[in-house]
Amino acid sequence: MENMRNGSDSNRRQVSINEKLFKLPPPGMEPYLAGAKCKSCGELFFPKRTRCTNCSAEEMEEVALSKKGKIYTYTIVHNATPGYTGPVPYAVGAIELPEGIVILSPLTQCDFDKLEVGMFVELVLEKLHEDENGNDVMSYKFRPC
Amino acid sequence: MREVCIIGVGIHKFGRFPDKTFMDLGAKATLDALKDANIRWEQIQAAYCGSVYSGSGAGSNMLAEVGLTGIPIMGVEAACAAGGIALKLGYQAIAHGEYEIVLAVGFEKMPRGFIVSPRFQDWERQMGLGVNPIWMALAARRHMAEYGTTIDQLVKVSVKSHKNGELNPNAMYRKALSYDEIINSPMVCDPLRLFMLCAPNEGAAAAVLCSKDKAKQYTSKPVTIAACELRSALHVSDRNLGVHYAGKVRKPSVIARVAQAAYEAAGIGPQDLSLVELQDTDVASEIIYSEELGLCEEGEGGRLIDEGETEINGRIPINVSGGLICKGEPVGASALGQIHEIVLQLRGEAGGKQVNSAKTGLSHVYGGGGYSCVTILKR
Repeated sequence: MENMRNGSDSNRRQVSINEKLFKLPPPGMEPYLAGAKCKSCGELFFPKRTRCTNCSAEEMEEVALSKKGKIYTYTIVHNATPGYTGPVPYAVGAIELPEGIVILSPLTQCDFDKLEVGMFVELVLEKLHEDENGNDVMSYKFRPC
Repeated sequence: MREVCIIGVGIHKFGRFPDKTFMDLGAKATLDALKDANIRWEQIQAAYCGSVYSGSGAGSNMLAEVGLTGIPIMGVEAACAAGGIALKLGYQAIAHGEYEIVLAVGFEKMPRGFIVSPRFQDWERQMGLGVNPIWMALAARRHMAEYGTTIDQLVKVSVKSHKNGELNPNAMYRKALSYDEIINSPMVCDPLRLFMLCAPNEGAAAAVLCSKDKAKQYTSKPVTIAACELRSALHVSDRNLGVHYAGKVRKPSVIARVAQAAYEAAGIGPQDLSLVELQDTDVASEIIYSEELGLCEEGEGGRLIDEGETEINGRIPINVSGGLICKGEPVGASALGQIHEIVLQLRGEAGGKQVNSAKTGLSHVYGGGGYSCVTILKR
């Protein structure tokens, strides 16, 4: 346990904030967000769910969502809210993916004044905070590209 | 199905009342409604109680302050739509012949500060996604991008609401604000600033319902419920609270669908309305809902405020009460607060905010997560 806390960054383990959303990729691989696709009607959802709201079927398959999309809409939040310990103000966007769905995501590495609906953005993972074991808890975010 | 009338309304003004319990607020609105209806508590055959934050047994606990008559008491939780659903259940019961006279009441003491909903999971909160004004801000920015709605139009809606709020003795904020005061108020979730958003607060409102054929025994000014419709989300994008953006965005929205159902049931169209009380949690919602309720074409909501059409003396007055922006939002009481306003208007008893020749009014609420209730009242 000692060297997990005091070790260099390369010794610190990264964990996903929630494995249902994405898993940390093996070395050399890129992360992806895990969507659920209905085998019956093709409707796509993120985060994953087990029942389709479009046709009520219960057979879903996991699909890797596109890593690039466009800003469908965005906002800048000026207050910290219960459970959030990150910087304020911060940006949140709804990202339209080529598959035709819109998903919610924090926005990062962006100049707030330059954000625009229609901007191209790409998926990244960023550290949110550390857990009680000294692991870096990683969140998914999108950044302008 | 029989026709149903509202024969009395009551309200406890909206605001913050540290010395009053939710029971005090609800009882005041109930007693005032009974008095307005010329009805004794003993004549009420069933009660429908809308509240979200009053805890276990809310309806029964509140009504014990009014009296104990052993009647069926039904509690409704449906976020901001709770009061509308209480009204709908009461309306259905009389329409289908189960009762003659019932009470629909909504009451609330909202918690202070950000409301932590059990609906949000830890990861959402930690990522900064578990916050209400975000959904409204995202919808506002999208509407601006899609239809060219402007900040100027958002500010003007707030100017109108605050001007109207001054005329409403039951509103919490009763002071007109200038354009500059609004546009310079602190940013909350871009583009929505403090004076473009409603504040959660406390209040209660009640209505006594009666079958139409008996209504004239109690009042010379019965108001008929021409329609009372409720729908829930059909598409993921009908549900706000983050789930909005978890799949494909589809129209028409739940609001458009429930409004259509209400117009059909009432046998009228939006052009026949004298006034509308809609759920302006924020000024952009007023613009968006005015389109979804069919008061104008899609994308034209901003033009309504530019051209003064939604003022008290305009073509389609919206939120003459000052809206949620000035009244605040005690969620269980909201819908019935709107009903209170519309009933006064249709009776010609609305004072300084009276709409000329008001004959038909529409109340609209949307409960976070996907419930929408639209009620149409007529003289």
